[in-house]
Amino acid sequence: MVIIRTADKEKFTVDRDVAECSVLLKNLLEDVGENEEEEIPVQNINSSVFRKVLEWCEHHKNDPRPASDDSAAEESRRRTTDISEWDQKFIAVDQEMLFEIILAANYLDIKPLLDVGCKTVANMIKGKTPEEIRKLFNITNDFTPEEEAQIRRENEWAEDR
Amino acid sequence: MHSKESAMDRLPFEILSDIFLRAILHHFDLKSAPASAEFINGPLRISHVCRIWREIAVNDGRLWSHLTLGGWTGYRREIRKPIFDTWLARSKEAHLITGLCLIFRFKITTNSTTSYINWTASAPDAAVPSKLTFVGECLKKSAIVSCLNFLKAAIFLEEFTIYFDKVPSLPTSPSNDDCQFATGLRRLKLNYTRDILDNVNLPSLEVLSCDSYAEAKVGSEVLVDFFRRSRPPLTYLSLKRDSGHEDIVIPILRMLPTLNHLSAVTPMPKPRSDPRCLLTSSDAHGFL
Repeated sequence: MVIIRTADKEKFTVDRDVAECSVLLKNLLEDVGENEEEEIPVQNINSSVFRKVLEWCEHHKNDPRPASDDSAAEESRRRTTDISEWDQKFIAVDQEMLFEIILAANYLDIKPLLDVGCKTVANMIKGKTPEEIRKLFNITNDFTPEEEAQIRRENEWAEDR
Repeated sequence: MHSKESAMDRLPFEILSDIFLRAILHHFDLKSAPASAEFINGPLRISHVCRIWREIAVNDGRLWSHLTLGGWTGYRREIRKPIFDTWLARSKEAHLITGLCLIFRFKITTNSTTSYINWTASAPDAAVPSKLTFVGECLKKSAIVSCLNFLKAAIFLEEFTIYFDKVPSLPTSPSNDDCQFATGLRRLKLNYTRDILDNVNLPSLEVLSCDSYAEAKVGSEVLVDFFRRSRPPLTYLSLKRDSGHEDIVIPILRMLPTLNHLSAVTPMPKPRSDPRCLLTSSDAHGFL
């Protein structure tokens, strides 16, 4: 077991094999060695998000780890937007939590979880108009009038059929 | 960027870029490439959301790396060039390794390729696509001639893929009096060798992948003549279906001293009821 302390000072006692889903934690644990008393701090993640990440790691702890230098496998993962049923239920959270999970997966270097998060957002974007995307993510249209004019010209391309 | 501070604002650019790519990457699947309007819409829509998204999208060449021109002739002439130019510029600016992959998915006729050929001829200094892919029907001699004209016009072409859904049952035998040179072409994939290889000279070719399922059995003489004429520094050769038969492979090996990869696959023959040999999507998947 290892002890991990989140940004809001909450401590989690975690199975080593669960923690090692994270490349960052795996490397830190190698530095610490067998000293189970030493706390591992994760500065950028609060407890509610970390709890969610641990839930994912617990479920996927026996999955084969992706090779860090396998660009073909990475490209293949990127090409599919399919998400397993369990992961779909796991990631059915509010937008704020979704983006926090993506940030946590990126910080902790958990590529498969980062994939799930990015695929989920990509699926939300697919097929939507810019206005629908703005509304979905509460994004302000901040283009200058000159940029708007250019965008109008580009829109004509897609409509010119 | 957003009216209310959210975790999305803190996503690093490379993650947003990755999300954008995933949102349109399914368009790059040649089997299901959408109609051109939708294809053009994919990266454009993302770049029209807000300034940050536009900055990320415009500078990520991967988003602009494919352009499907199905029904290209449906566009007004004055619209075609800016679309070409935009995709070319944006796919290059992000240091794209492969350049622009231009996919022509429609009935290939002389008329439908004229705009591209004229464009490359009128702008010889412009960056032209380094990859071209033909996906479509080929039922007329003019389609073969168009393919050959592309090879002649696109002198900077590095990779050319020809995938015909349908081909004629008999060789079309286009004009053979002027073998087309494509001096820069390094990679060629095709599922119809006769009439193409008969009419080209490719002295830089390094990778050749032939899948002759779309045509009647091709004899070794097509490949032998091609290699004798081009003398390419071929390092990779993949021959599938009828092309992979030992009668074809053995005579050509001695002509390829630089070869370091050979794949020759000859599956059990399939019954063919239609002499024009309509391919299935799984055939396309294996090839492309």
